[in-house]
Amino acid sequence: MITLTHYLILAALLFFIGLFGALSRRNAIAVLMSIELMLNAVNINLVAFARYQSAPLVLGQVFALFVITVSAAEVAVGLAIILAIYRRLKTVKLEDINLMKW
Amino acid sequence: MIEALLFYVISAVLLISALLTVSLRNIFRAALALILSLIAAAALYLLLQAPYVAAVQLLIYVGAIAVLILFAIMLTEHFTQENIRATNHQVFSNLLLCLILGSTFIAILATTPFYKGEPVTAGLDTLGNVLFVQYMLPFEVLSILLLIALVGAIIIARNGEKD
Repeated sequence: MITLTHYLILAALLFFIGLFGALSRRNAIAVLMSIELMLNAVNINLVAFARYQSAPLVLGQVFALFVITVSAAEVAVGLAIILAIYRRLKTVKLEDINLMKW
Repeated sequence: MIEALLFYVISAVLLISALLTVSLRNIFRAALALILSLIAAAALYLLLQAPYVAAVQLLIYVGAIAVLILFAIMLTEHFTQENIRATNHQVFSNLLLCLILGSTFIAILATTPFYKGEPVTAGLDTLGNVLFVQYMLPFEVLSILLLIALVGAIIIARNGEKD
């Protein structure tokens, strides 16, 4: 019997895997991919809460649709920034992008 | 019974491919592992009786976002077979942080009394009604946001020569 807690623990595990990747990866695109994992964990949470209710509720699914769309916009802008940085600095390793460090 | 088996299989695929995404050295293979985890998440939405969210996940996340990531990987590959470490020098403290914080979260989630009754299924017409009647204004604002984001992305990633 799969309860709500199963989905929430799965989403928490996925979120922390994504958080580890966002903090530890050296490639900027890999950080973006880890952020996508975190957003997917949030979506699983939202849709699971929309299902395990006493009355039918689709608001969680609507919220998840909005999160998917906003994350598409964010990935587009983020990758454009990474492309511009690569064109100028010829690298995507985060430790080499240090022009604004003191 | 079938639902429990499907849940465990899909969550195993999801978590293993997520671990591959954050740890593979070759960035292209990490993107492929991300695609596998996104497909597993879509299967999870189908298990949660949300077919529209599963379809949008496959169309937008796998079909658009993952392909965009693959394009960006191919455009920013300076050394093709460069064999450097995947993680930076903070990997041990990050692992410690995520383990401690994650176990705290999971302990809290496992001991909170959530809804324990029968799960309900909402129809697709309810979703359409809510999305296009009740939340029509955020929906239109979302399309404007997409337009602004894409125009901005084109301007940022454009070649610098003035024509």
